[in-house]
Amino acid sequence: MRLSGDSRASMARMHYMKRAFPIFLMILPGLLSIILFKYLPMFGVLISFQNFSPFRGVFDSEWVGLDHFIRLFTERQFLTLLKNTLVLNLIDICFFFPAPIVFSLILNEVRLRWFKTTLQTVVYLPHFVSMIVVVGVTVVLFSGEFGGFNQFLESVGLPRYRGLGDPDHFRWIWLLQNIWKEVGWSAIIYLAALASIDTTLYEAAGIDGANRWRKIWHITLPSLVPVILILFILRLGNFIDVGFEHVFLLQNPLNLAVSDVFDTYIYRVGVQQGEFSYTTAVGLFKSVIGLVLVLSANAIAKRSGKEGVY
Amino acid sequence: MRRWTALLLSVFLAVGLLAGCAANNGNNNSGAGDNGGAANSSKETGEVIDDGSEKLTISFMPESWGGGKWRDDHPTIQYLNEKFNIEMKIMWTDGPTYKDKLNVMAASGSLPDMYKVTPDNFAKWQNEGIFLDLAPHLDQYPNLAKAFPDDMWKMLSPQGKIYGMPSWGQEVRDSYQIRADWIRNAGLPMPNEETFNVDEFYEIMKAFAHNDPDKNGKNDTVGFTTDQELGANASQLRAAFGLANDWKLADGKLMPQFVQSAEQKGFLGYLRKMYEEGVLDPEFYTKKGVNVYEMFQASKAGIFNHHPLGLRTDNEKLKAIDPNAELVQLAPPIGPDGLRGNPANLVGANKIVINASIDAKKRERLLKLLDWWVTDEGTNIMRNGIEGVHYTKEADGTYKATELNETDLPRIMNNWFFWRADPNFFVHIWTPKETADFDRKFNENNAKYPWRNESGGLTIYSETYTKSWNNLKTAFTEAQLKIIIGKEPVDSIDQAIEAWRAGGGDKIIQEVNDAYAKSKGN
Amino acid sequence: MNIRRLSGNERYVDIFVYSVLIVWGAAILFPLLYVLMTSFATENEYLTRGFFVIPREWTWDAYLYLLANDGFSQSFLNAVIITVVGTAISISATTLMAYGLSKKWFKGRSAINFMVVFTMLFSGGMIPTYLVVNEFGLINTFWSLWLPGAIAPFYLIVMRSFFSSIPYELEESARVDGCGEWRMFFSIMLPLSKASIATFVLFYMVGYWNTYFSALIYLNDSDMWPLQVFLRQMLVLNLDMEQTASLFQQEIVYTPGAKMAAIVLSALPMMIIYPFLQKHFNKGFLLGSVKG
Repeated sequence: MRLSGDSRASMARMHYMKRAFPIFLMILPGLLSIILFKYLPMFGVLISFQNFSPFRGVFDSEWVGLDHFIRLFTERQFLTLLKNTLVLNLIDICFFFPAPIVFSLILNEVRLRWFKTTLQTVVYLPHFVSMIVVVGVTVVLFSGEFGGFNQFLESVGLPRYRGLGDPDHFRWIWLLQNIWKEVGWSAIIYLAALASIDTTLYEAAGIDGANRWRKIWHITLPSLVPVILILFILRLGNFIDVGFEHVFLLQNPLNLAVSDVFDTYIYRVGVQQGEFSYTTAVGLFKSVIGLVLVLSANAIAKRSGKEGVY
Repeated sequence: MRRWTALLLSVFLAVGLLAGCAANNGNNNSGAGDNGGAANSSKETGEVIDDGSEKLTISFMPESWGGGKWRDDHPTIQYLNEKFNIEMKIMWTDGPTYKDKLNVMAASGSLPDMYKVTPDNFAKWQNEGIFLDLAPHLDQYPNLAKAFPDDMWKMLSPQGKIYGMPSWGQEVRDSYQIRADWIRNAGLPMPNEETFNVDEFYEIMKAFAHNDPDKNGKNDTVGFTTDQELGANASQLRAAFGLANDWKLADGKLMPQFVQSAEQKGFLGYLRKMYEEGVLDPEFYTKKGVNVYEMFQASKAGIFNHHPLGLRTDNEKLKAIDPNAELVQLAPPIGPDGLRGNPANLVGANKIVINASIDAKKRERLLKLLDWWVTDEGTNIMRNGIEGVHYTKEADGTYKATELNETDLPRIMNNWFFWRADPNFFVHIWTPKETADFDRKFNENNAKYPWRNESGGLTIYSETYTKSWNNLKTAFTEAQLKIIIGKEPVDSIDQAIEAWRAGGGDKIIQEVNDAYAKSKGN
Repeated sequence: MNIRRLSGNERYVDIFVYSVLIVWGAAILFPLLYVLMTSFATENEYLTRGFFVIPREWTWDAYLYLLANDGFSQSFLNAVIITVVGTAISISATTLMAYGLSKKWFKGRSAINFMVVFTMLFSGGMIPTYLVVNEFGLINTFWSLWLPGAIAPFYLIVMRSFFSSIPYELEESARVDGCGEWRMFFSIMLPLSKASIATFVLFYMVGYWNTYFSALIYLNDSDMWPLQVFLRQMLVLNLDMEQTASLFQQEIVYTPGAKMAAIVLSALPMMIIYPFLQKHFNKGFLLGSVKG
């Protein structure tokens, strides 16, 4: 039987619908949650163009145009904030981001099973210790006068470390505390991905006489690339965020020149005062930058034939 | 295509939702207006609307600190429900995030009948008509009316209106507490209150730092301690050097501490010398207030600015570390120009407000309850709990707190939410006389040297203050700390003052003084 | 394997690997031990001794105190309910959605994926979200935590990429066998992705377990607050000391030991479940079992 072009097309459409409908149903619950609880409230970004009052709501609050953005860009320390935010994020991307990858690669080389699982559990635990406590314990260990580690250094005849409040050390202390707390947690995804590598690949490589470095380089690492790429692109979305609490805990008036970032600034001038509009405006500024970075990175990834995040 | 359906659907939902919200708000506002009218008419006729026969639900929103709250069948709630024929609904709200919660409730039009507001929100929200004006009603509730001094009632409300009840606190709560045993160990005389000055203070702190005041043979104590904001322990020194507690009146004008060049130099020069000579904790700039307190509690520092309850409990703890420990109250040192002071709080700017949208019946019932609350009888119950449950009378006529008292916390509704102005606020019915006398004496000593913020809370009327004060202060503190640690000369504070003025400080001074003139003019 | 001859080169690798990991493990363990041990130490020792890993004087007081505290046990129970139900909802919604979005032939896939990524960057803020949650009548119910948080975009995207790595041939052959999408999902994909699901169950559990701010904002009834709120209330009090706060905010003072004990107790359930889930995800995502 011959079908006309039209009906063939409609048959194809029918066929697609039949196949797609269950998939659509699967997507629906999650999609609804996102639309209702993430997209509906997005009208809230409008308040960054207003002097918002909770009593008047988004429609009756006074409109002020770009005032809040102008205030941000003309703020005395805007460039300091931008510089510090970028530097901390660059440090984070250069040193923190690869840390769980390196850690999981090293752990992957361990053949003693009990050693591997024990260590994996130990490094996972600090994730549950809050930053307040991490910073507190750092002081207990490294404070110049009373620090436990300093007492140890002194007892073996080494000089004390007195750099805890030193502005030059701020960024590295921040980084090390992050690494201490989160590497084990962040490594979970990589470890899971590593465990899924086809073991026959290693055997084949072993027969070919490849040593361990070459196996890591040619088999292990490439199989992690898709995950790394996705996490990297998503990480760029937060390129202008720095976790508030941590920096705030480490900040003191003498290290402001390196530690003052958008998040601590907005806490000082907006959050404490209940200035919703200004707070939202700064958030919007950060979101736009994040969006631009994610869009670009994703486009580059797709152009080079990799799977992006959308 | 389905995607677009979904998107379209969501747009419809959004529009509907927003319309809904807007309508809600509108209703609330008009409702408030109606009730206001009803209230006025009842006032005019002077007739009582509420005969107490109908059971009313009254909602309170007190703060909750440290996980403290009342269980639903708390004996005090049962007592109040019965006494006033009400259904008390208490919404315990986390103290640190109270303001956030209040904001979302305000936005959704679901504020409770009675809640706390900070001075900035009290000023911002006055014009929205959401606070009940108590001015027309107070004369019917004489106990309530005289529960607070007049200036606190009026503080921050427009002329002729009383939009909230003051959240009372003790004006001068803290003073220096010092290790008397350390002073003795260092071979120094106990300071004489009349003549004790900053030079003597310096000598004591120097001895604390260098003369092994705890006699343990180790150089493990620090002298003067403060935190990175120059907050903890520094108030008395600021007062001595003539700095304002943020604002002071000079020639009929309000002046902030940030423009007091000579005073700043005196204060910073003093701390700089301390830092140079190792008298000031060398790591003070890494510390927050709580770390300073921990050093004191650990017997590594010998001075702390705190309240009498703190003195009593810390004395016990310190004795566990060093049996000879003895904490005593220390008068603030006298500065070069004869000034001295303990930090005074601005009392009355925080408010407890009543929702304007409650009807006349509920208003009368609630005010009746509050009018009872501030009497001796009411305060006794709100502070000590129910007799026989939270405390018992002993054979010798004294009282004793029960075990339930510690878990039921009958005092927190009073101490965290609403209480009368009462110099004996710390005395429970079971408090031993010696303790009560000790605290009373401590408070009386403090009251002699108040170092006040003289702005009267008017800063909330300055828009630039809201926007820039914190940020400018941070930059100024940075300059102060650089001077203290010897990175910049003392004179560099003048540049910081200039920067403060130019960055918005002058505008703040102008706006605050405008508000001050207005408040005086009226 | 253990009999296998190691070349000199390989032995150096081993020495390197083990020494790095032992040093790293110790660097993590000692501060953790300190946190754990302060919960067994007296306040006196905590204040005066500085760093230690073995207390001179052991005490269980902190734990006894906490376990006897109604607030603690109530909030612990709430946290369990929030975590268990929330994780069930989230993992179901996320797995289904991630699987659906991994179908390259599904039209609109890219647009929805972008929608998901977009929500990671832009948010409406506290008040608008509250208004929406309020409008659906979810305030003061646990649904206010479960429904808005059903999908964590980050986990969804990572999970989707794992599903994408399933070879298309598998799907094709199943379809040839007359397998519908639902059956394919439940009887082929789900068993295959056990390891992947275990990982994200862990992530979601920890996320719900740590719920703090949204619980405070959406739950009016303090009897419904989860453990993290209680913990925060214990810990955060201290930070407010420098403000001229009311004397009586310090009505309830917790010893440092009690604070540390609360941290330990609150982390304990997540430590206990970890090995169970670890067992699964150490087997790897999907692929190993498919190919192996």
